[in-house]
Order: sequence, then C-alpha cells, then structure tokens
Amino acid sequence: MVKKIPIGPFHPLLEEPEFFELHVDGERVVGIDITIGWSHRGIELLSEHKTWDQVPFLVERICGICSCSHPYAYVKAVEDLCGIEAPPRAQFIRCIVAELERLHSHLLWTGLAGHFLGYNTVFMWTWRFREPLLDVLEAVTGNRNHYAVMKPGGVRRDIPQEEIPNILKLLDELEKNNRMLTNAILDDPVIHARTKGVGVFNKDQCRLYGALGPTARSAGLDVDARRDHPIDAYDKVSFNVILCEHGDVFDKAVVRQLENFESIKIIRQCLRLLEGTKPGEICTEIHEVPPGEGIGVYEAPRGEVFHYVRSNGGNMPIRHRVRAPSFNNILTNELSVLGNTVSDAGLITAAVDPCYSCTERVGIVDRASGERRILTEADLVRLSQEKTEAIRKRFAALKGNG
Amino acid sequence: MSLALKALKKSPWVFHVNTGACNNCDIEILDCLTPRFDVERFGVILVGSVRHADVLLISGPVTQNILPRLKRLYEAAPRPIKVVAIGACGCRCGIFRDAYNAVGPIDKYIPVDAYIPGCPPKPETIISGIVKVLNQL
Amino acid sequence: MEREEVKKRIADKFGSKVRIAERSPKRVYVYAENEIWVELARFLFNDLGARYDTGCAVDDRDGVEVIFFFPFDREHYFVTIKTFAAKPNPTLNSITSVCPGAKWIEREMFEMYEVNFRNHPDLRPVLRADTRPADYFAAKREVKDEHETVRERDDGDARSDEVAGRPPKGTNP
Repeated sequence: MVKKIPIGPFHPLLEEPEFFELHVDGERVVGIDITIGWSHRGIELLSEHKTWDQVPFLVERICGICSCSHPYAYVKAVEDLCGIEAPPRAQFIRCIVAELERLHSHLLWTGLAGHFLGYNTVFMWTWRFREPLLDVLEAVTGNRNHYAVMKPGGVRRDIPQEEIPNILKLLDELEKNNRMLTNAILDDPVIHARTKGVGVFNKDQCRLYGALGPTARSAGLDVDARRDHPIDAYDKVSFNVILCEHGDVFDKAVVRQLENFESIKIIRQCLRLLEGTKPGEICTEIHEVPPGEGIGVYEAPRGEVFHYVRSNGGNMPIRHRVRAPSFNNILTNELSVLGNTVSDAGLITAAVDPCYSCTERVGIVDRASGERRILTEADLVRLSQEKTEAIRKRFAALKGNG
Repeated sequence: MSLALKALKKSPWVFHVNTGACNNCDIEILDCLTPRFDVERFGVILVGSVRHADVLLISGPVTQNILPRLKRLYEAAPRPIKVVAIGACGCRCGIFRDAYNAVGPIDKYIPVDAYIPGCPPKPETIISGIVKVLNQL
Repeated sequence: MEREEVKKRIADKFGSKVRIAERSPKRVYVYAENEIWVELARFLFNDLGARYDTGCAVDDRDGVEVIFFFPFDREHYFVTIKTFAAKPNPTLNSITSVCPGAKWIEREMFEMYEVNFRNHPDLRPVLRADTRPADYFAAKREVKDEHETVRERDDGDARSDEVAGRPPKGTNP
C-alpha cells in the first residue's frame, strides 16, 4: 500500500523552497514527484532588458552561495562572443575569488549536512571556519557574499597588495582546519552508517541525467569544467580532480572535503603567478559586442554552470540562457531516493547540494484509513537526528560488549 | 509590560521564510547563530515551525508560486507576531522589480513591522534590526 | 573524439539534412532538419560519446529555434545542435528517449515557448505549474509598454542569419 508524503516547499537543509512528494510503502520510498519553480523570478527575460555590463549584477543574485559562479560564466560567454581574453592579472584575480567562493560553499554544505545528521558541533565549527574566509573576501572585494568582481573583459577591482599576506595566512589556517574536519568525517563510524550506501546514483545514471559537479564525481563520472573547458588561469595551474566510486551521500561529502584542499592549492599558485603581473591592468575594454552567440562554462561548487548569450550587435543580449547545475542534479533525486527510508530522504535530496531547498512540513497521508499526520521541519530534522543517536548507542553498546 | 510580553522580549523565537530569494540573506541569518555572532546567548533561536514563532523573518521578492503559501503561513502564525522583511528583495523587490514572476514586495500582502535592507545585510545589521523590533513591544 | 572526425561523421551520416559550421576551435554548430533531430542526438550521445549538457529555445517570428549542447570534454569543445520548429504549433520529437536528463528543459520549453514535444513522458509546465492562468500563452504575447520598443528594434534583425546564429547558405565543410 503506497502512501504519499509531501515535503515542501519550505527543506530542513537549506533555505530555498522545493517540493517533493514521496511515495512510501511502509518505511521505504518507492517513488518521488519533484515540483520546482518556487524561486522562479524570470531572470532570463530580465537579462534581455539590461545592458551587457549590467547583467553581471543581475545574475549574481541568482544564487547567493555560488554568487560569483554565474557572473563568471556569463562574462566568459560574452568574451567567447567577442573573441577576447581578459588580461593575465584579471584572470588570476578571477580564479582566486572563484576558488575562495568554492571553499566557503563546501564548508557551508558540510556544516548543514552535519546539523541535519545531528552533529551540531560540525555545523558550528565549519561555519566558524568560514568567518575569516568571509572577512578576507570582504577586504578583497568589498562584500562578504555578492562580490561584484566580474565584468566582461576583466575584473572591477584589483586585489590590494597588502591583502595578499592575509590571504596566505587564511589558507594555512583553513588547510589545518579542513584536515581536522576531513579526518573526523572519514573516521566516524556513525557517519559511515548514516551515509554509506544511502542515496546511490551510479555512473551510468549520472551520464544519462547529465549530472554535474560533486554529484557526478562521487559516482566516478569524470567531469570537471575547470579541466575540460579551461578558462582563464585554470590551464596555468595544476590541481587534481577528486573522484570516488559509489555515488552515495558519503562519497559526495568526501569529494567536497578533498576539493577544499585542491582549491587551496589553486589559490596559492594563482597568488604566486599574480606577482609576475602589473598591478592595475585588470580589464580589456570591449567597445562593441558583435552579432553572434557565445557559450561560457565554469565549474561552480555544485557543478558546471552554463551560460549562453546571443547578440544582434546591440547593447543588450537578445537571448540569455542560464543553466545552473542544480537543474540537472535535482532531477537525479528521481532515482537516488528509491529504496531508502523517509528519514534519509531529506539527507539524500540535500546531498546534491541543491541551490534551492527548504521543507517546512512533511505530511503523511494514510490512504487506507484517511488519517493525516503532519510533521514539521523540526520533526524531520529530529527524525534524522534520532536515527543518528540510535546508531551511536548501538555502536557504543557493541564496543562495551566487545 | 505584561508578563507574556516580558517573556517574549527575553527570548524571541524566530521562524525564517524564503519567498524565492537567492539564499544570501538566508545564510546571513543562519550566520547569526554561529559562534562569532551567537544570537543564542540572547535567547534567539531559529524554530522549525511557524506555530512556535514570535518573529517571522521573511526574505525574497515573493514569487507567484510562493504567494498563497506565504499568506497561509502568516495566518497560521500565533499572535502577537512581528514580521521583519530582510534584504533588498524583501523590502522592495531589489533587482527583481520588473520580473514577471516576482509579485512582491512582502508588505503588499502582509503587514511588515521592520525592514532590514542590504544585499545581503550583514549579520550585525540583522541582529540590530531584530533588537529594534523587540524594543517596539 | 576529435573535432574534424566528428564533423566528418555527422556530415557522412546525415548528408544534406544538416549544415555544419565551425565558429572557433571550441565551437561547432550543426543545423538539422526536424525529422533527424532525435537521430542526431542519439548519434552524438551514444555513438560519438558526447556528454549531454542542456538545451535552450529562442523565440523567432516564424518559429522557435530549439538548441541542445553536447560537449566533448576530453577534446575541450562544444557541439551545438539546432533545429527550427515552425509556428503555429511548433512541434518536435523529444530527445528524452536518448537523454532522460532533458526532461525538465523540454518541459520548460513547452511552458515558455509552446513547443510540443512528441513522446515526452510527462509534458507539463515545470516552473509556474499551479499559478498559471488558463489563457497563459495568450497573455504571454502581450508585452509591457516600456519593452515594446526593444522588441520592435529586434524584429528586423531577428530574421538575419547571422543574428540567429545560422551559417550563411551554402557552407558545409
């Protein structure tokens, strides 16, 4: 007997709304229906009424967490259309800001996943590690989150020389903290029990669904736009692409943690390369955007962001297509929740790090008796945390006996 | 001041709603809970259900899809409830003013007691805004 | 697979039903007739090993241009396939049988551009499902006053091949 459980639209594990209806047989999920569009604001249409250099401010606000990813892909699309490159110093600055953002985004996700699992200290600590990072971003770009650094042809601001030692100091601190965090996650048996084998989405499914980013790499699908379609400084630095093989929630967490180390590596290399460039040369002027089309891709923390612009020679795009990685990744929930329990469903849908998610209520309707139970967000988080507690107790008991 | 209001002022419980925002205001709100700003020492906690809330923190330019749910949420909130609109989108729709699907701002549909502008407002601003709202009581 | 070989194999297989253009070493454009749309997607995705990325639709006066992007990651270039679904009632075969990941973008094209996709498993609006008025598509054609001038300015140019991203007639390497 299949029951239907609506989750949404307000996810326990991040702030934006999504609506899932889980079809449940007993404790197992046998089907899911996903409704999106709660945050649909009509940005592609708005772009057509903004000039080429006003659009970055608009697309920045598509998502606040990966807020420099969309402008980055957009300016690369415009530069592809115009056939120009930004000057070297601008390229390095772009990569530095972009990788700092990747660090902040992955730490944020780890914290929220920890909270959902019942590890509130993980939440508090990762978000505390983020704070100096946000301070550095504020000193370098002017704002903690919407950086407004990207501009077609280059960047809007130069990195002040006096900030560079601060960035290096921050990277040393972050590397130490990330190592501590990674070891804690990789060693904890309760986390293993909660996340291994949960929400599996394998490599072939990833390919068919066009999954991207850590979601795809956790299953072994080797896609990384930094390496495959290198832009700016990414072909001048060396870094590893992290691949796992099982495609479950644990692997998704591991990929993100290890990618933090790679980001730190990239930033250090970019800072060294920055020394060889002349301060102040941060933009190639674009006098005219010719008719034609341009594609810009960039590897955001969640996956590849894709922007496509078309021009008729005017001062505004006539078509701007924005594809966030979550558009491909959230659809993967269609298969990855099947066979798992309700208390894991929230975790699985959050493991793809959706750029929008928020459940407020979970309603359980028993079709046979007509009884209706409503669980709130607090209940869903509590269910998940209780499961973790139960596993912890079981492990402690085993240790006591053994 | 009555006992109920005194109790309310001591530890306001906050429920956060995202009506189609970009998430930035929302992570700054969550940031307030983290050790650097730590609003929990003032008794402010983020609750999971609107029925326990004293303050509604609403961000976002109110998309068409969310609107009926926002109204229902406001009706479900216990009285007295203070509504705070967060961010440029919450206050005045921000950069989404001309968007066809953003039908806000929030105060077009529910009465707002305080506005915290910014894109996003820093956690210090958010805390200061909530304190001002509480002092209105 | 290398770019030149991909271009050659597509030209060999589909002959006059496609026109291939290369704008830069990283961008290959294939303009296809409607009837071979799914075959082309299948050839690229299954036989040549491209990755499915996403799709886009562009509104034109006479029809809707439907575009899909298939990158070849190892060789660092994008193949963009385009076709034109003529108005009224633009209709096209769905490629979800080849790439299930295209489900949502085809639903979005249906919702925003009225393109009807044959054989789509679940063709219904994806972004504004429960708040759309009944006469949604008719209402969409009304343009706000301050935007009218932008549309008028575009009208002449939208037809030109270069703007629409089509290669001039007679080029097929």
